[in-house]
Amino acid sequence: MKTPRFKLFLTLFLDNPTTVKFAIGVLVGMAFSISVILSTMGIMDGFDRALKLGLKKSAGDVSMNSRNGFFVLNDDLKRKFDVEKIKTYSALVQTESFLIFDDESRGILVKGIDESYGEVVGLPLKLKSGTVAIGSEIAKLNQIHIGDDIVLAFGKGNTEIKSMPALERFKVAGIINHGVYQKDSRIVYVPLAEIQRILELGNKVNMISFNIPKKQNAREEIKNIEDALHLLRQNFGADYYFKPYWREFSSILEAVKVEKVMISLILQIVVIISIFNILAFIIFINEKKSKELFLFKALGLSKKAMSDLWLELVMLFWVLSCILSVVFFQIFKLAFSKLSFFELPAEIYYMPRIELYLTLKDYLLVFAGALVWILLITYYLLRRLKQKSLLEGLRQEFA
Amino acid sequence: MSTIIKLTNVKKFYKHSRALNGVTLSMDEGGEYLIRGASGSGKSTLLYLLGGLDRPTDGEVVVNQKNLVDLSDEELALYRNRYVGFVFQFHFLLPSMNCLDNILLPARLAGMDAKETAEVKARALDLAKTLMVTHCLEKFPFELSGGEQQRINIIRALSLRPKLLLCDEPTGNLDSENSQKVIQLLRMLSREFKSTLVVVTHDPMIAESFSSQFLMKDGMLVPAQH
Repeated sequence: MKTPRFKLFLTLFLDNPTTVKFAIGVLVGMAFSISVILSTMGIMDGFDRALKLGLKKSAGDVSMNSRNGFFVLNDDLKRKFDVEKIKTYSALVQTESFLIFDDESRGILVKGIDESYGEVVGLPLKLKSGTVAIGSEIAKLNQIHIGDDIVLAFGKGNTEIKSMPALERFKVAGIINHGVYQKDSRIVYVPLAEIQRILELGNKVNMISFNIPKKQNAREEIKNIEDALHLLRQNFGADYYFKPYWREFSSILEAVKVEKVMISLILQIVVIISIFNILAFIIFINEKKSKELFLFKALGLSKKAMSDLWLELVMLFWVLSCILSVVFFQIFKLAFSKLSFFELPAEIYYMPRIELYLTLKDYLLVFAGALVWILLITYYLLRRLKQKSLLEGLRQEFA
Repeated sequence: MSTIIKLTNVKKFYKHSRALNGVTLSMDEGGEYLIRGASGSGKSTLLYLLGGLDRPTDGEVVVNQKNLVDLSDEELALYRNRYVGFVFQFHFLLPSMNCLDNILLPARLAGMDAKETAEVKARALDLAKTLMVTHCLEKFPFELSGGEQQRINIIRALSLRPKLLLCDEPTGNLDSENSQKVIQLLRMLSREFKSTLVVVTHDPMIAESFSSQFLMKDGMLVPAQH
């Protein structure tokens, strides 16, 4: 960018309130258009991220089950985990149950866990005997608070009356938020030893949750897990099956990915419309400042140099619009996280709020897309302007 | 004196009109020429072709042994910047810049470095002293009278020591007293800068002071009678 020449060019219209207002309008319009795409992608990415994070919190990277039902985490299995360099794993019992509180009952998913489970899922889950931790939506829906007593009804285990469920009383020691409505409204964590006692399982479990060792490139996480699953299936044989954390919601995650691409493409129309504002600005300046522009040419500015100056101006618009769009995006993000207007029905959308989230790649894609449109459209206009005779402009001006 | 400008059968047609119908002329280096004619006779078109502001439909425009027709847009822009000084009827000063910045506009558009720009500035200050407009340099164009604006315009045109000083109705906006002064200044400065002066006008008062004159009539050039 030849700064002194470009500075001269800018002075042509920055001293005029009308053109300055027009330029600001163009800039804000363009920035807003870009931020609409950023926000849409942010919602999609935010949803995808929050859902995956929530699912990870409720199961770790991978869950392993035996095709024979209950099993013991024996030395052979531990050795196999060592071979796969899997250090963080936790054996648990997962079963269905009913939670009863104040004469209201709710179907729940009981996870009988020990201390190692908290390390796998990254949640504060250290339960003492006789206590449970419940999902945040259960607490909300049934008005349960920490310190309340709840009763869990199990279909098996009543030793006195065989046809009746076993009822066990627990004190609520924690309320857990996974970030996914379906998990928060269903999961109750119970100490593993208690559930094994109630269900008379001895030291048997029916699931192992574990994390795959992270590779340096965190963005490759899903591929890393998929690769690891392939090896696990080979090494553990047909007796066990493995589920990655996203399996349960894989169709919705896939749909979101496709929707993100489609909506981003459709919203390009918004950017194109705002680019027409830039074109309008260029045409306006060409008319309003034709005397000055033709003076520049008469004093030695070539048509190409003039086109370059316009391009520099358009690039400046693009850069400033991108910066301003990030500001707009942050405002949207704040509004999404704070305003009640943006709250979602969690039972439908899996989470009550979506935190907008974008990766650097998303930003670059949107900005690059806008730049391509700007360059394509302004190139056409500048070609037309180039064809306009210098003398014709002077004659019109002095006519 | 050697020939600096040579036009051969130059034609310029517009969509609905014929501005030049085959003009042939030559001008010597350092000479003072006047082209006169009625409005619409093609005299300004001829001047703009000489200045590289437009290209002929046909014919040759050779300036300093270079055919302007063969020059690229970039080369033509450089020619306008370094070789030609324009003085227009309207002062044509940018209202957002003070007069000194207006004078330095050709140097800045040429992308001259600080040293070169300083030289141009020194020359401009000398010229401003000669033309008695030193007090105007820090002022904006709207603060100046018509005569002062035209003098600033002349300083700008001469700021890069052009070989050709092309003036299109330079006195069109001035009263007769100022007109005479401006013409005298143009002649004096073109001699000092060893520039070839070409003035286009329809003002008969000015025409009297030029010995070399051309008359434009219907796009054709005819030798003028004094």
